[in-house]
Amino acid sequence: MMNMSDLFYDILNTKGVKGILLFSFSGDIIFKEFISPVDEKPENLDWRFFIKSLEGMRETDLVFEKGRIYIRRSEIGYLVVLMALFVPTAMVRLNCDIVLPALRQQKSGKKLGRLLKIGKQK
Amino acid sequence: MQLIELEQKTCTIRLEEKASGKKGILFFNEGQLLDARVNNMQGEAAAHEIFSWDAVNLSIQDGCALRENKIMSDLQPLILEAMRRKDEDEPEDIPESVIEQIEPVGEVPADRLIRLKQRIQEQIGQQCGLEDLYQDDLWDRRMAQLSKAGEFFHFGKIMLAYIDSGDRCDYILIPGQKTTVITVDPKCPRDKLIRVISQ
Repeated sequence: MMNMSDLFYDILNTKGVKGILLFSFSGDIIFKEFISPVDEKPENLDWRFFIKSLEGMRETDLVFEKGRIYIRRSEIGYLVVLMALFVPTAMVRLNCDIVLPALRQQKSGKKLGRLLKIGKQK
Repeated sequence: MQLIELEQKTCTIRLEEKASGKKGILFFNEGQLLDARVNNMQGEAAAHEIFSWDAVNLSIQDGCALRENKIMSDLQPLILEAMRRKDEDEPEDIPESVIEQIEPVGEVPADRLIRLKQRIQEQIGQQCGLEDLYQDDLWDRRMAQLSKAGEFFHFGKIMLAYIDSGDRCDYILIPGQKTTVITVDPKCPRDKLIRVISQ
Protein backbone atom coordinates (compact mmCIF):
# COMPACT_ATOMS: atom_id res chain seq x y z
CA MET A 1 0.00 0.00 0.00
CA MET A 2 1.29 3.52 -0.85
CA ASN A 3 2.15 5.85 1.98
CA MET A 4 0.21 9.09 2.25
CA SER A 5 3.08 11.35 1.15
CA ASP A 6 3.45 9.37 -2.08
CA LEU A 7 -0.29 9.43 -2.56
CA PHE A 8 -0.45 13.22 -2.36
CA TYR A 9 2.82 13.83 -4.25
CA ASP A 10 1.16 15.21 -7.40
CA ILE A 11 -1.14 17.53 -5.49
CA LEU A 12 1.67 18.83 -3.31
CA ASN A 13 3.83 19.43 -6.37
CA THR A 14 1.23 21.53 -8.15
CA LYS A 15 2.56 25.09 -8.32
CA GLY A 16 0.96 27.22 -5.63
CA VAL A 17 -0.28 24.37 -3.45
CA LYS A 18 0.84 25.12 0.10
CA GLY A 19 -0.15 22.04 1.96
CA ILE A 20 -2.54 19.16 2.55
CA LEU A 21 -4.42 17.98 5.59
CA LEU A 22 -6.58 14.90 5.92
CA PHE A 23 -9.14 15.08 8.69
CA SER A 24 -11.19 12.23 10.11
CA PHE A 25 -14.95 12.79 10.33
CA SER A 26 -14.49 13.48 14.03
CA GLY A 27 -12.03 16.32 13.36
CA ASP A 28 -8.72 14.54 14.09
CA ILE A 29 -5.79 15.13 11.77
CA ILE A 30 -4.89 11.87 10.01
CA PHE A 31 -2.22 13.34 7.78
CA LYS A 32 -0.65 16.73 7.14
CA GLU A 33 2.14 18.02 4.98
CA PHE A 34 3.10 21.60 4.20
CA ILE A 35 5.37 22.98 1.52
CA SER A 36 6.75 25.57 3.92
CA PRO A 37 6.59 25.58 7.72
CA VAL A 38 3.37 26.91 9.28
CA ASP A 39 3.30 29.39 12.17
CA GLU A 40 1.11 27.29 14.37
CA LYS A 41 0.59 23.55 14.56
CA PRO A 42 -2.88 22.66 13.22
CA GLU A 43 -3.19 20.20 16.11
CA ASN A 44 -3.40 23.21 18.43
CA LEU A 45 -6.82 24.11 17.04
CA ASP A 46 -10.04 22.25 17.75
CA TRP A 47 -11.24 21.39 14.24
CA ARG A 48 -14.41 19.58 15.30
CA PHE A 49 -16.77 22.46 14.57
CA PHE A 50 -15.09 23.19 11.25
CA ILE A 51 -15.46 19.53 10.23
CA LYS A 52 -19.04 19.51 11.47
CA SER A 53 -19.79 22.50 9.27
CA LEU A 54 -18.76 20.39 6.25
CA GLU A 55 -21.49 17.84 6.91
CA GLY A 56 -23.45 17.05 3.77
CA MET A 57 -20.88 18.63 1.50
CA ARG A 58 -19.18 16.54 -1.19
CA GLU A 59 -16.84 19.21 -2.43
CA THR A 60 -16.17 22.72 -1.15
CA ASP A 61 -14.11 25.55 -2.54
CA LEU A 62 -13.37 28.35 -0.09
CA VAL A 63 -12.00 31.58 -1.52
CA PHE A 64 -10.27 33.97 0.88
CA GLU A 65 -8.54 37.32 0.33
CA LYS A 66 -5.09 35.72 0.16
CA GLY A 67 -5.64 32.07 -0.60
CA ARG A 68 -7.99 29.22 -1.33
CA ILE A 69 -8.94 26.04 0.45
CA TYR A 70 -10.28 23.14 -1.56
CA ILE A 71 -12.05 20.43 0.45
CA ARG A 72 -13.09 17.03 -0.77
CA ARG A 73 -15.02 14.41 1.14
CA SER A 74 -13.44 10.95 1.04
CA GLU A 75 -14.42 7.65 2.58
CA ILE A 76 -12.10 8.22 5.52
CA GLY A 77 -12.63 11.92 6.08
CA TYR A 78 -12.07 15.30 4.50
CA LEU A 79 -9.10 16.10 2.30
CA VAL A 80 -8.16 19.77 2.67
CA VAL A 81 -5.83 21.39 0.13
CA LEU A 82 -4.35 24.80 0.94
CA MET A 83 -3.34 26.87 -2.05
CA ALA A 84 -2.63 30.29 -3.49
CA LEU A 85 -5.31 32.19 -5.38
CA PHE A 86 -3.73 31.60 -8.80
CA VAL A 87 -3.67 27.79 -8.61
CA PRO A 88 -5.51 26.03 -11.43
CA THR A 89 -8.15 24.35 -9.28
CA ALA A 90 -9.25 22.12 -12.15
CA MET A 91 -5.86 20.42 -11.89
CA VAL A 92 -6.13 20.03 -8.12
CA ARG A 93 -9.66 18.66 -8.52
CA LEU A 94 -8.46 16.16 -11.11
CA ASN A 95 -5.60 15.00 -8.86
CA CYS A 96 -8.07 14.57 -6.00
CA ASP A 97 -10.26 12.44 -8.28
CA ILE A 98 -7.25 10.19 -8.80
CA VAL A 99 -6.30 10.06 -5.11
CA LEU A 100 -9.75 9.32 -3.66
CA PRO A 101 -9.98 5.66 -4.79
CA ALA A 102 -6.55 5.06 -3.26
CA LEU A 103 -7.76 6.47 0.06
CA ARG A 104 -10.65 4.01 -0.11
CA GLN A 105 -8.11 1.21 -0.49
CA GLN A 106 -6.21 2.54 2.53
CA LYS A 107 -9.44 2.27 4.48
CA SER A 108 -10.17 -1.30 3.38
CA GLY A 109 -6.49 -2.16 3.99
CA LYS A 110 -6.85 -0.92 7.56
CA LYS A 111 -10.01 -2.98 8.02
CA LEU A 112 -8.21 -6.08 6.74
CA GLY A 113 -5.29 -5.35 9.09
CA ARG A 114 -7.71 -5.07 11.99
CA LEU A 115 -9.32 -8.40 11.07
CA LEU A 116 -5.93 -10.07 10.86
CA LYS A 117 -5.05 -8.70 14.31
CA ILE A 118 -8.29 -10.07 15.74
CA GLY A 119 -7.54 -13.43 14.08
CA LYS A 120 -4.09 -13.50 15.66
CA GLN A 121 -5.49 -12.68 19.10
CA LYS A 122 -7.87 -15.62 18.84
CA MET B 1 -50.20 25.97 3.29
CA GLN B 2 -53.19 23.91 2.25
CA LEU B 3 -53.55 26.11 -0.86
CA ILE B 4 -49.96 25.39 -1.80
CA GLU B 5 -50.68 21.69 -1.46
CA LEU B 6 -53.93 21.96 -3.44
CA GLU B 7 -52.44 24.03 -6.23
CA GLN B 8 -49.34 21.83 -6.30
CA LYS B 9 -47.02 24.82 -6.05
CA THR B 10 -43.25 24.60 -6.03
CA CYS B 11 -41.92 27.23 -3.68
CA THR B 12 -39.78 28.07 -0.68
CA ILE B 13 -41.44 29.77 2.28
CA ARG B 14 -39.37 31.71 4.80
CA LEU B 15 -41.08 32.43 8.09
CA GLU B 16 -40.23 34.40 11.19
CA GLU B 17 -42.18 33.93 14.39
CA LYS B 18 -42.98 37.43 15.58
CA ALA B 19 -42.84 36.66 19.29
CA SER B 20 -39.49 34.88 19.44
CA GLY B 21 -37.82 36.02 16.21
CA LYS B 22 -37.20 32.36 15.36
CA LYS B 23 -36.75 31.73 11.66
CA GLY B 24 -37.67 28.73 9.59
CA ILE B 25 -37.99 27.53 6.02
CA LEU B 26 -40.47 25.22 4.33
CA PHE B 27 -39.61 23.63 1.00
CA PHE B 28 -42.49 22.62 -1.27
CA ASN B 29 -42.20 20.75 -4.53
CA GLU B 30 -45.41 20.40 -6.54
CA GLY B 31 -47.45 20.88 -3.41
CA GLN B 32 -45.53 18.32 -1.38
CA LEU B 33 -43.66 19.47 1.71
CA LEU B 34 -40.14 18.10 1.17
CA ASP B 35 -38.33 19.55 4.15
CA ALA B 36 -38.49 22.11 6.93
CA ARG B 37 -35.69 23.80 8.84
CA VAL B 38 -35.51 25.68 12.10
CA ASN B 39 -32.21 26.29 13.87
CA ASN B 40 -30.59 22.88 14.01
CA MET B 41 -33.83 20.98 13.37
CA GLN B 42 -34.82 19.48 10.05
CA GLY B 43 -37.64 17.41 8.62
CA GLU B 44 -40.82 16.62 10.55
CA ALA B 45 -39.52 17.96 13.87
CA ALA B 46 -38.89 21.35 12.27
CA ALA B 47 -42.29 21.25 10.52
CA HIS B 48 -44.05 20.62 13.84
CA GLU B 49 -42.22 23.58 15.35
CA ILE B 50 -43.09 25.92 12.47
CA PHE B 51 -46.76 24.87 12.31
CA SER B 52 -47.10 25.61 16.01
CA TRP B 53 -46.17 29.29 15.55
CA ASP B 54 -48.91 31.85 16.03
CA ALA B 55 -47.94 35.13 14.46
CA VAL B 56 -45.46 35.05 11.62
CA ASN B 57 -43.93 37.19 8.92
CA LEU B 58 -43.47 35.19 5.80
CA SER B 59 -42.20 35.47 2.31
CA ILE B 60 -42.90 33.07 -0.51
CA GLN B 61 -40.34 32.54 -3.19
CA ASP B 62 -40.94 30.63 -6.42
CA GLY B 63 -38.84 27.50 -6.83
CA CYS B 64 -37.41 24.94 -4.48
CA ALA B 65 -33.69 24.20 -4.34
CA LEU B 66 -34.22 20.82 -2.71
CA ARG B 67 -35.27 17.57 -4.34
CA GLU B 68 -34.72 15.07 -1.53
CA ASN B 69 -37.87 14.35 0.46
CA LYS B 70 -37.19 14.35 4.18
CA ILE B 71 -40.83 14.46 5.29
CA MET B 72 -42.80 11.26 4.81
CA SER B 73 -46.15 12.69 5.79
CA ASP B 74 -48.95 14.70 4.22
CA LEU B 75 -49.37 18.29 5.25
CA GLN B 76 -52.66 17.91 7.11
CA PRO B 77 -51.48 15.32 9.67
CA LEU B 78 -48.36 17.42 10.30
CA ILE B 79 -50.44 20.53 11.02
CA LEU B 80 -52.83 18.60 13.24
CA GLU B 81 -49.96 17.05 15.18
CA ALA B 82 -48.37 20.48 15.64
CA MET B 83 -51.69 21.86 16.91
CA ARG B 84 -52.12 18.91 19.28
CA ARG B 85 -48.65 19.45 20.74
CA LYS B 86 -49.28 23.15 21.06
CA ASP B 87 -52.57 22.54 22.89
CA GLU B 88 -50.80 20.24 25.29
CA ASP B 89 -48.14 22.87 25.97
CA GLU B 90 -50.56 25.75 26.58
CA PRO B 91 -53.99 24.50 27.69
CA GLU B 92 -55.39 27.98 28.31
CA ASP B 93 -54.57 31.50 27.25
CA ILE B 94 -54.69 30.96 23.54
CA PRO B 95 -53.60 34.20 21.87
CA GLU B 96 -55.93 36.14 19.61
CA SER B 97 -55.92 35.40 15.94
CA VAL B 98 -53.08 36.99 14.13
CA ILE B 99 -52.66 38.81 10.88
CA GLU B 100 -49.99 37.42 8.66
CA GLN B 101 -47.87 39.90 6.85
CA ILE B 102 -47.65 38.27 3.47
CA GLU B 103 -45.14 39.54 1.01
CA PRO B 104 -45.86 39.07 -2.68
CA VAL B 105 -44.93 35.83 -4.37
CA GLY B 106 -41.58 36.13 -6.15
CA GLU B 107 -40.31 38.73 -3.69
CA VAL B 108 -37.89 41.18 -5.31
CA PRO B 109 -34.41 40.81 -3.86
CA ALA B 110 -32.46 43.78 -2.53
CA ASP B 111 -30.63 46.07 -4.95
CA ARG B 112 -27.31 44.51 -4.11
CA LEU B 113 -28.56 41.08 -5.10
CA ILE B 114 -29.97 42.41 -8.36
CA ARG B 115 -26.67 44.09 -9.21
CA LEU B 116 -24.77 40.89 -8.43
CA LYS B 117 -27.11 38.87 -10.61
CA GLN B 118 -26.70 41.37 -13.46
CA ARG B 119 -22.91 41.30 -13.13
CA ILE B 120 -22.85 37.51 -13.34
CA GLN B 121 -25.16 37.41 -16.33
CA GLU B 122 -23.31 40.21 -18.16
CA GLN B 123 -19.87 38.70 -17.67
CA ILE B 124 -20.67 35.04 -18.20
CA GLY B 125 -23.87 35.11 -20.21
CA GLN B 126 -26.82 32.75 -20.10
CA GLN B 127 -24.54 29.74 -19.54
CA CYS B 128 -23.74 31.06 -16.05
CA GLY B 129 -26.09 28.43 -14.62
CA LEU B 130 -27.54 30.86 -12.09
CA GLU B 131 -30.86 29.61 -10.70
CA ASP B 132 -31.72 31.65 -7.64
CA LEU B 133 -30.26 34.32 -5.45
CA TYR B 134 -31.43 35.15 -1.93
CA GLN B 135 -30.31 35.89 1.61
CA ASP B 136 -30.58 33.19 4.24
CA ASP B 137 -29.28 33.47 7.78
CA LEU B 138 -29.55 29.70 8.28
CA TRP B 139 -26.11 29.52 6.62
CA ASP B 140 -24.51 32.17 8.86
CA ARG B 141 -23.08 29.82 11.50
CA ARG B 142 -21.70 27.46 8.91
CA MET B 143 -20.02 30.35 7.09
CA ALA B 144 -18.47 31.52 10.35
CA GLN B 145 -16.95 28.08 10.91
CA LEU B 146 -15.66 27.83 7.34
CA SER B 147 -14.01 31.23 7.60
CA LYS B 148 -12.04 30.15 10.69
CA ALA B 149 -9.92 27.77 8.61
CA GLY B 150 -8.76 30.71 6.49
CA GLU B 151 -7.96 32.77 9.55
CA PHE B 152 -5.83 29.95 10.96
CA PHE B 153 -3.74 29.74 7.78
CA HIS B 154 -3.53 33.55 7.43
CA PHE B 155 -5.59 33.62 4.24
CA GLY B 156 -7.55 36.67 5.37
CA LYS B 157 -11.30 37.14 5.19
CA ILE B 158 -13.52 34.65 3.39
CA MET B 159 -14.84 35.97 0.09
CA LEU B 160 -17.10 33.08 -0.89
CA ALA B 161 -17.71 29.38 -0.53
CA TYR B 162 -18.73 27.09 -3.38
CA ILE B 163 -20.52 23.99 -2.14
CA ASP B 164 -21.35 20.82 -3.99
CA SER B 165 -23.57 18.64 -1.82
CA GLY B 166 -24.64 16.30 -4.58
CA ASP B 167 -28.05 18.04 -4.60
CA ARG B 168 -29.88 19.10 -7.72
CA CYS B 169 -28.08 22.44 -7.42
CA ASP B 170 -24.78 23.72 -6.04
CA TYR B 171 -24.56 26.64 -3.63
CA ILE B 172 -22.37 29.72 -3.64
CA LEU B 173 -22.32 31.49 -0.28
CA ILE B 174 -21.20 35.07 0.18
CA PRO B 175 -20.69 36.32 3.73
CA GLY B 176 -22.56 39.35 5.00
CA GLN B 177 -24.90 40.36 7.78
CA LYS B 178 -27.03 37.61 6.32
CA THR B 179 -25.38 35.04 4.08
CA THR B 180 -26.17 35.55 0.40
CA VAL B 181 -26.99 32.23 -1.25
CA ILE B 182 -26.72 31.69 -4.99
CA THR B 183 -28.02 28.39 -6.28
CA VAL B 184 -26.46 27.28 -9.54
CA ASP B 185 -26.62 24.38 -11.95
CA PRO B 186 -23.87 21.86 -11.02
CA LYS B 187 -22.74 22.07 -14.66
CA CYS B 188 -22.09 25.81 -14.38
CA PRO B 189 -18.65 27.25 -15.23
CA ARG B 190 -17.58 27.11 -11.59
CA ASP B 191 -14.18 28.80 -11.84
CA LYS B 192 -15.54 31.64 -13.98
CA LEU B 193 -18.37 32.21 -11.52
CA ILE B 194 -16.00 32.24 -8.58
CA ARG B 195 -13.78 34.74 -10.38
CA VAL B 196 -16.65 37.08 -11.24
CA ILE B 197 -18.24 36.95 -7.79
CA SER B 198 -15.03 37.41 -5.83
CA GLN B 199 -14.01 40.46 -7.93
